[in-house]
Amino acid sequence: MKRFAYRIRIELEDYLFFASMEKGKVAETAPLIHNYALAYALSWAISPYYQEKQAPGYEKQLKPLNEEGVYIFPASPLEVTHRLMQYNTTSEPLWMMRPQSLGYPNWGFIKCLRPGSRFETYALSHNPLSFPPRIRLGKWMSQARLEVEEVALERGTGKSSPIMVNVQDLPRLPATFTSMYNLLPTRLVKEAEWGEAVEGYRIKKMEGQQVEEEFLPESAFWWR
Amino acid sequence: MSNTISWQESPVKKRLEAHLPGEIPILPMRRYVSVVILREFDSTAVLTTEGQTLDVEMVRSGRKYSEPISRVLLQKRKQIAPERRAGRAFNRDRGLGKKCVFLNGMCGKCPDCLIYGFAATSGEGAHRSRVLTDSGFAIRPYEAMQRSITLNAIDDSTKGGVSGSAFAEREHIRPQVFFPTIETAVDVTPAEFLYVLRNILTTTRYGAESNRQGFVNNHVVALLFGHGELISNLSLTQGVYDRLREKGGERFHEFPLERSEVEKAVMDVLEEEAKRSYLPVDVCAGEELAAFLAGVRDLWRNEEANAEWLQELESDQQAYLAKLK
Repeated sequence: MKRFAYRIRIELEDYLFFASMEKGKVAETAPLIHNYALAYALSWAISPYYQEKQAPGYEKQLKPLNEEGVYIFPASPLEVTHRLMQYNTTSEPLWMMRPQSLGYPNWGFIKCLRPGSRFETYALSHNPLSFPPRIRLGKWMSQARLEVEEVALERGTGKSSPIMVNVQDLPRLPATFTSMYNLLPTRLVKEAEWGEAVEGYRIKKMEGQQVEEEFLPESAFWWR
Repeated sequence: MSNTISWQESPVKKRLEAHLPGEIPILPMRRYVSVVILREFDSTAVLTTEGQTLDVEMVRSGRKYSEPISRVLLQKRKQIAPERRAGRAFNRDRGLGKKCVFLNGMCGKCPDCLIYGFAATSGEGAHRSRVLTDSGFAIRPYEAMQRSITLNAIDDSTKGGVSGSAFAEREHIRPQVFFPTIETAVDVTPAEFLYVLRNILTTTRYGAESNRQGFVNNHVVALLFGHGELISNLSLTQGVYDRLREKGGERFHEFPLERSEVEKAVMDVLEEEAKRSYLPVDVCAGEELAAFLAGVRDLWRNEEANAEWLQELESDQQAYLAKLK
């Protein structure tokens, strides 16, 4: 049961990169921020510095958050611009020579998000939360600034939600949606609709002078 | 008081101990120490990822003056890579990490792997970096500090004068360009922090063709101790821009900047930000910082103290590796 809702605006202050799609020599960053990434960035979920095996521990690290009664949705873009940049690597010896191929790329292109890009998302909680003013995101641990505003929340049901949701975290699969991002570790969909009303929360937020209402479906980390 | 200098007894270690963990934690504790560095280029330099043109980004000029300008970038990897290499050369000189090879096989045991992180390319294992950086943004706009330099390789034989075999143009930044940047070490022990600081203070060349150009003076302006990060490089540069413009007028950027004024502006921004911070920040700057850096100099120049420090660096990391097993 959630009693508090927060609207969170995220603004990038450096280039953000994570590989959502790899197309030959180009690694692309999708215009969104996955909610699991946000859970780690906010240090809700904690992973050790050293990983013995390169295998994710999402379920183990995220599920305890459900008992604490906190949840954050994936962040949708408000304004996003991309930039393509080249990278190449150099070896250390003074005499530079390239032996046989390494089997992984040592040069290529990265399509990343530019500083100034902005995102929005919601966090729900049973107890009042406080947020850090800055977080770090992505492969490069790039800085981003947070602006957080508490919004009114009440329990309710709804048939559709305009925000981006994580399919893995929903108790009931939506019947339709507009866009789907098929990226690791889970799928994200936008503007989901359900055949019949599902449990969730109605939040009221100020949009300029007007009050707008939005429906957020009940979600929990790694529900399915 | 005796004249012997020791790492264990040094005020440098005492100052660091007050904030940093005594042993490397397995899980993050988020104890931060940020090094605020004003990077001053003393020669022309090539900061590009695409070859011909400088890396430039359009951002807001300041926080108060908000019209957009194009700024030259010092990408984060172009800051950290040369510094890591300085550290790795230092390790090799001490007989450490000889088998640790960038790209092909990181050893996972040397100070470089454990502090700056690694991902094994053969076998398993990965370590997150405990050094955080951001891309650096120049204070003045691109137009004011860019120059295209032509390279023209002329045939050396007696025929001479035949050009065209290699003829190209490349954008360089002019000398005396400043990048205010912050490097933050997280959950490092005092000995490990000194390793990071050594890399920052001893690296002098950044950017492409660094065997010929790209000489940089890294001026440490402040150390910030706390449980969070105070400010990003972009905000810092924007804050500095506001202050310099307020003082120097709209056309302040047409001539090279004065270092002392830039440093003062950096301190102003940091102090203002420290006041606004929710969590306490311990700022070490000015005379206190000068004394701290003098203490560091004494340590490194003294053979015994230096050895003592390196011994502790090794025992800190050995203890950590033993904990992981």
